[in-house]
Amino acid sequence: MMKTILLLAVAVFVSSTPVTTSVKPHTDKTPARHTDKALLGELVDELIVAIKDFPKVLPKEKLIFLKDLQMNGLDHKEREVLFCQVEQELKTKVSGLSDAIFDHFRTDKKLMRNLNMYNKYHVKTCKLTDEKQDKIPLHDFLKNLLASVRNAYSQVN
Amino acid sequence: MFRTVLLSQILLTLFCQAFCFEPTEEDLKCFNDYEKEIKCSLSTDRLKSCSGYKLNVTQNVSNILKNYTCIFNRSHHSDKCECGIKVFQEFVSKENFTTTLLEGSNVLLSKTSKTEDFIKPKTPVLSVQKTENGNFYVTWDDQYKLGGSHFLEDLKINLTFGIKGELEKISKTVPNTVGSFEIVGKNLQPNTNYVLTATMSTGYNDHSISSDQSTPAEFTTCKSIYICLKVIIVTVLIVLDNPYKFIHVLQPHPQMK
Repeated sequence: MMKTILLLAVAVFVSSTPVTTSVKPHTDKTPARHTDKALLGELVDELIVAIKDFPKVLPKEKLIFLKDLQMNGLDHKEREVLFCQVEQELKTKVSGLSDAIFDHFRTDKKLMRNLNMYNKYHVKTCKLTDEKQDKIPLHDFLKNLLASVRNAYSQVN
Repeated sequence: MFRTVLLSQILLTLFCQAFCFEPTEEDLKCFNDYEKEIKCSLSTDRLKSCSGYKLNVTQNVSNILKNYTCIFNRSHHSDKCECGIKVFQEFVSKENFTTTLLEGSNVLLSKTSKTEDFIKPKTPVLSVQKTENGNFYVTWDDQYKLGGSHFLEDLKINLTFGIKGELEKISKTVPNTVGSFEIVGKNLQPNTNYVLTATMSTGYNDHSISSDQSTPAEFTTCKSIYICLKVIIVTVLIVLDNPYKFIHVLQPHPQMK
């Protein structure tokens, strides 16, 4: 009798499946090229809207100046560094501003989220630029950035 | 004593294997529509009731976690348990979602996925109109109201049509942005009922997940292309024969004083 019970116990132990409670580590199913295209494509969309919505004329107290970063004539690696620097510039100087005209640049909005996700998967370290660098108005910064993102998108597409 | 305890444990385990619900990842399927919704379904032969099961969904938005919960209910059109949430923040590629299946407070299953890996586009709505030359002009509504233009540009629609009741089908895939497709009538069998359906897929996940199939749209070919053309020719001849009479009929009549 005892032998039978022990055999049954072993059989049950071997055949029983454990409850899955651990988080399965995710592996990227979609190739990087497709998600790069999605992130950059949506960044183009969001920049177009942000530029369109941003007032052409601003009172002096709302004028924002950002570093005049080199945005054209870049190779792929240089552009990755640029996008990281752009994110830092926008986060430190625009994202936290209270006026509604800066809503597109909040860190929980699509523009900044797309930029953040792109940088997360492309750049290991973000080289910060000198604060003494020349500055340009936010509107011009965004137009230059749009041209650069379009360029990056055309190379992935 | 030991024998009794061991026997009852064995019986309990055997009972549980037969009747307890221990879901695997294949049992829980979740999809997002890349606009506002995540829908999950739970399917297993051993699931007798949906009550007591709930889903926690966590969206990682710029390292801030947004939490949602839904309770499973039995679907009207399938025997699966379904649960859905509407997200506050829009979807962005590569952001993580963690779905945790609970029975009461007991965690049964937890999985983290990237947004793009579980996008299932909305089901398209088809419209078919017969044209003057006997062709069929197909248009569709992708059902997206809020979606950004890049996502919509990257959608493709797969149109499938064939003779009603027969298995043989023809499929055509076109970009969503094309907006329409013309089926040439002379390539089809005359005086025959055809059925058209469609699904959509996105390049965001390399078209790996198709939407649900659209409601079928039926259309009937002319008795012959010549009969279709005959109607047009007769109409044209009538107009040419007496154009003044035709114009007079079309003009508004002067009011009587």
